[in-house]
Amino acid sequence: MKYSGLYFIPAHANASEASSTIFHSLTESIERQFSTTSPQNFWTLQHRLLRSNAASNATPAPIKPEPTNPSIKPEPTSAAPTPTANPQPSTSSDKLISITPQSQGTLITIPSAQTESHFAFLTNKLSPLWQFRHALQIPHGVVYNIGQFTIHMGEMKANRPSGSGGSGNLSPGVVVCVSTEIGEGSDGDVRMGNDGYMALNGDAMEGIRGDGEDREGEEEVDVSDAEDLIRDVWRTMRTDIDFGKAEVREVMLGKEGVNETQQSEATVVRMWCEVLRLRG
Amino acid sequence: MHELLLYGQVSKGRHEQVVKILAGVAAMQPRRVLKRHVVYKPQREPEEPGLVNKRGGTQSIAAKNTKQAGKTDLYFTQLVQRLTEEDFGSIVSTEQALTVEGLPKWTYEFNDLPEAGNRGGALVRMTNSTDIVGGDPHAYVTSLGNQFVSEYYIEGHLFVHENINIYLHRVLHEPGVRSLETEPKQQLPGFDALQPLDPSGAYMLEAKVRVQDINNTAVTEAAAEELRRFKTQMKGCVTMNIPDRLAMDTRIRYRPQVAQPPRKPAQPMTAR
Repeated sequence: MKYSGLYFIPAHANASEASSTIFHSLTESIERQFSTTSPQNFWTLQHRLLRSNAASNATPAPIKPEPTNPSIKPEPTSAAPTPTANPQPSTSSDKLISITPQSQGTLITIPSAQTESHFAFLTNKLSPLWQFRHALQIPHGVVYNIGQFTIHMGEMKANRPSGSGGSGNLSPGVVVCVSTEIGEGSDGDVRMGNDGYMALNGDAMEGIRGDGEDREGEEEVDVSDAEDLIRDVWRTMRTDIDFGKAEVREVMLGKEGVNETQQSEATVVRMWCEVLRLRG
Repeated sequence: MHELLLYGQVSKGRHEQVVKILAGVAAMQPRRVLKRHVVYKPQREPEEPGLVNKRGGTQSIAAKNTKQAGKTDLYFTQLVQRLTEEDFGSIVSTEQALTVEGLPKWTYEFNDLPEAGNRGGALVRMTNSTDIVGGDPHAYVTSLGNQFVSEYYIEGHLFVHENINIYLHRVLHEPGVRSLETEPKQQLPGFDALQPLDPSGAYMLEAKVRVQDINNTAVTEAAAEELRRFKTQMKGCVTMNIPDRLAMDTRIRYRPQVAQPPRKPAQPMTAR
């Protein structure tokens, strides 16, 4: 079972080179601290955010006509993150995940080939309901393998629709994802899905753990251990790096994702959405 | 993606014969198709048409025109579920078993109003179809801002002839079920409980060619030519025509709110 923590280092808005600097210093730090590692595959991520366009008078059958200027409520809504590991010609079709977080959020998976058309449909045909806000992408992420840990790191590029005065390509910051194996995860089926998360059969876990009830308790403990491990790795990575005024945001994988293969994808997506929310 | 379409009608009595003819034309066994269409509409009501022009008369001097948001329409959209014979009469939740024979079970479909003016003899409309491979389609479509309207079923046969999808089908529905539902049914009715929407039991024959880029004239022209050839092939058997485009309009109509006339207090009749 793979457990992850995400760190987001926002870059200073005025210094356009800030996030590259951060990225490079982190890379150097990793290579310095963990001398046996080297960059592996690349990975990319695409995240698009749309905001709902709810009319302020939402009650049905009003006597007056609906207010004509739909007000944009400050509720972050539909996002579509696509973690894809390049160059992996993986046969699993479920790559794009579209989510509309309200309280819990609704998640669907659609084939990555249909990303663009679905997104075009949302922005063109459902435009009274949804407005495009911004798109974030990580075009060239790097991956490092350090023992039981895997570090995915990437510099983000943002794309806003022109016209609101923002410059075309900002760089909101750098994202670092530290993953580690917990539990007796090395057995069982290893499905190299889009981000290499393992899918263990429930049965395999049963066999290893034995009693179901004990398993709950053990998993709890492991999760907090894993969190501490991840935080240690992060602390080691960032020694000697000065992030200036930037506040690093940390998001850990949700607890309910543990031990459920289906849900683990959903929780991974939610974790990424959490980190990438409130950007811009 | 765009589609070029031609339609024809087949009466119930001739259905068997037409299936055989189409199997011959397409040189393949008919592929049985059973689908369930769940119709959604946006929760928002559309604005009154023409309202965009009525507002905006300001006295401000030389105000730069802010970008006028084009009046966009609201559309009906559909979730289409692929079914097999065994699914009828059983409990099929929207989350369960999202692929059937490797094909995605649920698809989120959108059809635009067909274009005015045909291209070389076929109706053209823009369409978008997104396969849903994971998650809960109904919950997703609802949180996009839609609400459930109704559902109906389609049974028919599909043939593929060169680039044309030939779809001989008819619409079935569960009689007597009215719009008190707020979500698609968890338990599908038995197949025998469904009745054709058209009481005569007639079928529709749809010939469709999908074109990725409608602006590529060479491809579009070739597609239209194929449809024309199919139409002549079917002459004498089924007449293929271009239907009324407004009959295929998926936009939501604006419904004006009628103000109640003020009620006059009852006047006592004075006899003169």
